[in-house]
Amino acid sequence: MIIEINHQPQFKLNKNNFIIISLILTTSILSSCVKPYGRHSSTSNPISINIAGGASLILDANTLTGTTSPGGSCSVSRWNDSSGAGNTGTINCATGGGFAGSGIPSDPFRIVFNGLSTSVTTFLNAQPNTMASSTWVAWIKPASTTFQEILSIDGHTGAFNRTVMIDNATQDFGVFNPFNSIFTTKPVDLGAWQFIAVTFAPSDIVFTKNGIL
Amino acid sequence: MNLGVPPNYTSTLQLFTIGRSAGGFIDFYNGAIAWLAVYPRALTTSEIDNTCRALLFRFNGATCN
Repeated sequence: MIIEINHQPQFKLNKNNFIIISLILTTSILSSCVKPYGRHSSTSNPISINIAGGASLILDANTLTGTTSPGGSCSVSRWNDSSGAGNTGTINCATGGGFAGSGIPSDPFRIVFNGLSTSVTTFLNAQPNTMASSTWVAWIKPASTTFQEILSIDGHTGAFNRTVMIDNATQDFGVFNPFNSIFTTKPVDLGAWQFIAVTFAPSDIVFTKNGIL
Repeated sequence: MNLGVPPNYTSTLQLFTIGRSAGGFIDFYNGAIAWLAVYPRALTTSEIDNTCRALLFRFNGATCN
């Protein structure tokens, strides 16, 4: 009479399961080491910003795919409008700047502006007679404090209106209305990510940095 | 901070432009932009703060109010 007292399967390493185990380990190691390059990363999950009323334009660098391009040719030339309003941005980086980043907090996806020629134009008509009130918000990382315009609808023929700028004299952010530049007391933090917002309303202009008035 | 009253005197088409004067002048922006939006109304301070916080996790060293 034979009594079987051990039903536990015995694992024996042989040629077949050695190959399988090796493949699993190799795949795991590679997937943990490879960083996304010009594509979505695990840290760039879609974000739902629940603001009633919706936006007329949302340009999110996390929606871009392609080869990073600062300093070279413009590998990404269209910045699709995530708001659904169809105000797609056209990126001009033929002589520098362009898409960059790997999608991690130390290197987020972004469009780099080289201070010489990079710009993005959109189809959004944001003139005051169309938008009596509007709010412009952006995550930015300035690299210098020369006089420069970050967001703008100014300078069109027959009009000269709204702009968010950097004032080279004070190194503060400024807002331009048709008559003059109004400089805030909000300093530009060079090389740091900061959130700026300006609200244009019939009654006033309000600027905030990092959510602080 | 409140910066005064904005005039509304033109009906000329004005397309929203990023990184330079929309009129094509030379004041190009030097830096990076990761996200931006235009809302056709005045957001409240609370809404602006919430918008800031919504994407705060993407950026090392950034703060919101």
